[in-house]
Amino acid sequence: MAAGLVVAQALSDTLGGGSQPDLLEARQMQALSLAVHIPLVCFGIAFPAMFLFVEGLYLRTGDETFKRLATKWSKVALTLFAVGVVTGMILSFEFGLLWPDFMATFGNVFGIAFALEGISFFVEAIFIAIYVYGWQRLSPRAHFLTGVPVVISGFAGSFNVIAVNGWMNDPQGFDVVGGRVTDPRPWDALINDAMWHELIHMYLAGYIVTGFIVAGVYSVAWLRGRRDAYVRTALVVTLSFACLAAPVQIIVGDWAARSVTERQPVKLAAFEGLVETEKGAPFTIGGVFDEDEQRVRWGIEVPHLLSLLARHDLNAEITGLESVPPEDRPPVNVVRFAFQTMVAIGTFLAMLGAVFFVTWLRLRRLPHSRWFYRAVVAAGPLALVALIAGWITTEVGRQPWIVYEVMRTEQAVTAADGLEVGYAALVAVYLVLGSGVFWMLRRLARQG
Amino acid sequence: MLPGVCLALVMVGLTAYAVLGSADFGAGFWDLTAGGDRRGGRVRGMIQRSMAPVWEANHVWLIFVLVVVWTAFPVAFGSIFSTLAVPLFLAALGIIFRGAAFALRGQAATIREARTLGALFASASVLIPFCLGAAIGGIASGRVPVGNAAGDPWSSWLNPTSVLIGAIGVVTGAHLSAVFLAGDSRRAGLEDLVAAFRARALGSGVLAGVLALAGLLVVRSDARELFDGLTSGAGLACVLVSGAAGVGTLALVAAGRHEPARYVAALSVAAIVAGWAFAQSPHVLPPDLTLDEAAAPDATLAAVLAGLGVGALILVPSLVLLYRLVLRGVLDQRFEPLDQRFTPLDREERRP
Amino acid sequence: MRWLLAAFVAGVVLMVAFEHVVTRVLGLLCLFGFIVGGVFLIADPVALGKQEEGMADEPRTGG
Repeated sequence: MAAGLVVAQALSDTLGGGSQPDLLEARQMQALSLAVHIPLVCFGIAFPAMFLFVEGLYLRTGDETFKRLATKWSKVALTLFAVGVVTGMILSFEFGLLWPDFMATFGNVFGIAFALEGISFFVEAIFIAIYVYGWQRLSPRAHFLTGVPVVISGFAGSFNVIAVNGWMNDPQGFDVVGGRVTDPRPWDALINDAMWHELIHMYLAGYIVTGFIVAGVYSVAWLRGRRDAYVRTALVVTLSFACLAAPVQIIVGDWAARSVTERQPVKLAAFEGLVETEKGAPFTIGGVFDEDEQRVRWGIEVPHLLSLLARHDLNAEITGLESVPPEDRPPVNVVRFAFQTMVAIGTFLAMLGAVFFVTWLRLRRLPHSRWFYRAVVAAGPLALVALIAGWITTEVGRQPWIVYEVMRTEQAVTAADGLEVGYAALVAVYLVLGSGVFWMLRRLARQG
Repeated sequence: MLPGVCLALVMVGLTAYAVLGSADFGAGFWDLTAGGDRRGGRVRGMIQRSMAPVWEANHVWLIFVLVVVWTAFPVAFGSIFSTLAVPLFLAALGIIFRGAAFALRGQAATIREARTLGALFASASVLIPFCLGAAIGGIASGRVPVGNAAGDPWSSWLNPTSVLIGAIGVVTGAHLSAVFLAGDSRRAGLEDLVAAFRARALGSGVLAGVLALAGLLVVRSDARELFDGLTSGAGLACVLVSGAAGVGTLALVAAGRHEPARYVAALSVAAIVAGWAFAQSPHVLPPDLTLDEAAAPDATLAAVLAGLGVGALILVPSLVLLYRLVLRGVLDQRFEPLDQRFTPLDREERRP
Repeated sequence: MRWLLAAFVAGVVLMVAFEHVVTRVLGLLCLFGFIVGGVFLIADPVALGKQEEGMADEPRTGG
């Protein structure tokens, strides 16, 4: 990757340098907006498949319970989609407001993906509106069919966005000549190697987050004694999706980790806090990375485990943080903590999924244990935490680069002043928005 | 050639957003001024009914504009967003509030909650067109240089031209939405509402015209090159078409011909957007950055056009389907007068 | 049913033991087949209806 570093030093600012940039505020604002938007994306990815599935049950049986459930879910989905559109627009604005030099330099390389993503979610907006407002108005078959584009465009939208994120981690499709980006090859840029594991991992995450959150809502009803067909159907459908996806996610996570090992070894080193390149590298569970002493303290070291996980070879060589100068290393503690949180929760969710699946295998019914349902209630928020932790892992793990080994985040940031004010305003707005959405969803839930 | 085509796409998107989006914003304005229970209830109900199926699809045009600009004209994009960070950030906040307030207001249980949401909705509906208009004014009057926040963060959008264009944006939005709502009311057979919106359309239309004329005077002293661009050649032609269409819209509304009025009003907006582009030509960021300098390499432009072309094959039929269903009334929600809580008035009366 | 478990195991083996594009694609197909097949099998309307009987003797209060 030495060639990449040469390129990084050689990339001059497209818009010219500015005064001392408010880099940290900019990163925090971006992180906050992403953290608010991504859970809504999960619903956009997975919820349509769920309510369409339930409508399918209705069409097969004529049972009105299924129709009521599908109708209810589609209305909630529409509201969440609307909030998702709004938060997504903020992100689009922030790309320009916070990272004008990134956009000015590379917009012509990756921008096309957002054009395609815009089209996908325009189509999704159209068909979800037709679907929700068209209940009773369209023939049952036509109505069901209008739900299909919603599912497809949910996938297509995430495809395009992840393509850009993959590109940021594995840049290609352009040259740097004399400090300037030349010869942009947009299609090469977008179909890059890093995006596939990211895409599958995120797509499954959508189902896990949505499934467990919605199942959690109905689990509360279950725990309060509601066992009617409506609640049972809701639980079975959402839990099937989430509980089957959760173990698969572990396998995909393994693939992702191995991919990161090949492409971004320093990021992987930060997952562990591995300083020296070594064979048979350990994985340290817990603990804190001490920057001064350059080692993990108070953790439980499991020998050879990192080599095994990262390369499937107990004695494989794993690159350490020392392979790059200190200014090229990501903040280790943030990345470590986020990574281990994600893995811990992911493991818990997979085990919960196994309980559900095994119960069904042997007894052909939902579990009866109250503890199971309490766990499901917890699983929703935990899945959300894992989702955010995962994104923190990959985004902070890529620092100090905004485009890996090509452009630093500090080169990309706006030179405009006063970002603290913007940050404060954004936090306030999200708090107000969040409480409004929460309040409204509670009302909707109470209405049954 | 390719840069010109991409720019034309941006202008089309901007026009679509200006027409459809401002109709939404204007609705927020009328919503605020709709008045109390009885009087305002029917107006509010009509607004809710018209907006509900299409309002998200409307806002996607703005994203479309952003995305094409940042792909095809990335240096201009970076310069605009760094210098005009304040109005664009305010517009973004306004968009959050507006969307949330519209999505949430059906759930308000008390008058106070509903009033808060309604006020939020309406104030955002005024803030957004003003800020976006002011940003456009900043670009048009040559106050956005190439560079990372190279222009002044305040005077780039708080200057005579910007303030004027911002005001025109707000009033035009109010006017467009009144024209559209009059048409929707006619289709729904609610003649009292037709009259209410007709009055609003005429009033706001006249005001918009006055502002536009005053505007030319302001621009003449504040941004001479822009004035010259608008009063000669293609720019002048567009200004004249826009003015004629504006007057035509008023005439059609006064005569009760509400369906044609929609299209003529849209034409008026399209003409002035085109006029702006011609007035600035060949610059994207006057006075320094021309279209050819700003444009990305051909590979990117071709990719944009190809991608959008394929996308259009899917999108256009979908949009046609949506608008046909809307216009045929298939997606219409039941019209019901709404009190300030956005609960139907009759439901209120039935409660003991 | 058995096919479901076989799909899961096959998928895991293909994904974990190999590093080729082909085995990746096949592995993912198996795993996605497991999920989709599983959802249809578990959330089957007949099975959902039958659950009624299992639930009839559940305590409604307490616990």
